[in-house]
Amino acid sequence: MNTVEDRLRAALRETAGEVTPQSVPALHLDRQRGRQGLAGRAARRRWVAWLTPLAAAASVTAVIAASLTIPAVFHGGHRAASAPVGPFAGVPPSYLVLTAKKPNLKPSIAQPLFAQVRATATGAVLASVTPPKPYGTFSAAAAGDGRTFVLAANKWKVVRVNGGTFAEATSTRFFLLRLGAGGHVRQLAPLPIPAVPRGAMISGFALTQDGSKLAVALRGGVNGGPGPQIQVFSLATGAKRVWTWPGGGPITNNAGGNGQVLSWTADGRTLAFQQWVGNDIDVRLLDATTPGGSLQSDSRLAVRWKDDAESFHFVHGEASNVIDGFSAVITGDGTKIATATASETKHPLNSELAFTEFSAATGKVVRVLGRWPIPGLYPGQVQDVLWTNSSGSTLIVLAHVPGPPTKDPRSTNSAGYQIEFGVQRGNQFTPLPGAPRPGGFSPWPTW
Amino acid sequence: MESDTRRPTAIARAGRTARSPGPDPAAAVTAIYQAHALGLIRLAHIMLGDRPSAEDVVQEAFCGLYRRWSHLSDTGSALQYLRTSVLNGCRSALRRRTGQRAQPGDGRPAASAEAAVISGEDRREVMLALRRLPARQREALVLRYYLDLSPEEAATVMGIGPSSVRSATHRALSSLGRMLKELS
Repeated sequence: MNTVEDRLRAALRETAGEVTPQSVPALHLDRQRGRQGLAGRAARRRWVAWLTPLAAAASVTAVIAASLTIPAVFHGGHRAASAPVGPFAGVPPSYLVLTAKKPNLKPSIAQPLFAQVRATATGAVLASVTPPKPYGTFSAAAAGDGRTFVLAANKWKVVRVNGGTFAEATSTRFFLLRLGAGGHVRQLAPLPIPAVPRGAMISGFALTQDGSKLAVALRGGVNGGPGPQIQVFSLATGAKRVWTWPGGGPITNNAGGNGQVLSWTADGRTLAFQQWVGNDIDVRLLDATTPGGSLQSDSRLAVRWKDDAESFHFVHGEASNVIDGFSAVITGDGTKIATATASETKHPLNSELAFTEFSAATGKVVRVLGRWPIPGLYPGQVQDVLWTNSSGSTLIVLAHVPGPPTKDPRSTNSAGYQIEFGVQRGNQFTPLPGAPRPGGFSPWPTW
Repeated sequence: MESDTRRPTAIARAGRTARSPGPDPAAAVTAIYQAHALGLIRLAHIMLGDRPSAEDVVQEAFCGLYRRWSHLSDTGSALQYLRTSVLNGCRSALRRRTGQRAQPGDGRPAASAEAAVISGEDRREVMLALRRLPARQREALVLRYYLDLSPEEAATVMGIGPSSVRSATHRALSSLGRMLKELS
């Protein structure tokens, strides 16, 4: 066992051997039988597989008039969201979060998601928005100027097959949500977005700050299928422009995390997107003033996180890879790419998580916020950037909770930290009071 | 939303399992479960480091297979679909884990403590280093060195090209070697 390969094979074999043939649980394809047939530990398991793909893209064939409003789905709106002050000054007054009626249900069963409008500074629920019929769940959201959001809605079709109960993903439609000055819901209207082909995988979507354009990224790049594609729709006219990259790598964030993969500059002229290229992660900037065509030639590389991690030296030594689930958000002024990063130093071996801003012009690091040194190897901790102000001086982030790591008794991972949403201003992090707890099946909140 | 949009589309691609769908999807899926559940739970266990989550991921993968059964144009692709689904499920579980750390355990002894005692420091270090690798590199190593898949087979499961698998494997081994050297 001298070589790395030998040691690896042995370790994998021994670890796999912990699962013995006698310990394999019975398969329960139907939820009710599953609940009755499992006891104790297993009874607390999740039975959600048939529900989670609801966010997958499905076909929407109709072009819907944007002016149609659906007033019957609002609840609340009785508390006003004033402009945040103090540590929250300058951030959007409200945000959108998708949640289930019983988010803490045990065993946790995937449930239809509805949207809550919450005040950034207090977490107070200002309004709730349920999907208009026949749509049963929201699956994702994107923000414009803090008072305009786009919601993706899916039907929640429950079918019974062979004694089991399942929910099928059927169709996806985009809705525009406008909030009033106090954070109350003013309008929910279907957008004039043409069909997304069935089976297409939507990587993400992003609304310009003025709410005039929606970008939708199709992941592509899987097993020789069509390459990635970005569609930009005018919400006023429904006009569509398309950029494609046959054979290009998939548009996605690093490992399929919750973070957004698209972001606009404030003027709506540049769209930043993340792409897997070989083993590297690229952040590219699409010139959205072009009429459409080649995604490759109409965009340029802004930042590349090389898989070998040899190109970054922004900490004291070599930097490691950028890790799972990290968004790369372009600042409103288009000068920087803000993202969460992980890095490692050598001799001695230490890690650092931070929120790092790269020049959109040169790709070089221009600012590092919220440095968090960790002794030893990078512990697989998730952080994320969810919103940035125009200059990148203030971010809304998902960050670790200070204090010692929490050990998961069921895991061989050595350490883990709780995470929370908050405002990062310089090196000052302020948790958002009343914000939902990250995790589960809901996407991150949207500002 | 990305996690949900990255579900496998390879359900109709050629696979290796020679199972007939038969008239009853439940029976067919159950038969595949009996044949492959152990290997898939082991795969998920390696990726996740804990048994309950591994079993959850595999159960969910089979439920997904069952739900899609009528859409399978080639039921021989079932194992490949399941492997891809298990890997996707592991990625999702790893992402969710940070938000669920505070949840109480299930009363079972910690796998890490037992494993360290039984199998020694070398294995612990290797698995620790493996879990520090980026997801793609980790998956490439596990598929190549645990399942002994060819680069082409691993590429199909991972949804990337064979050259990317080779490159990821090479880089992963290099990184693993460096980390093990640091740890020793």
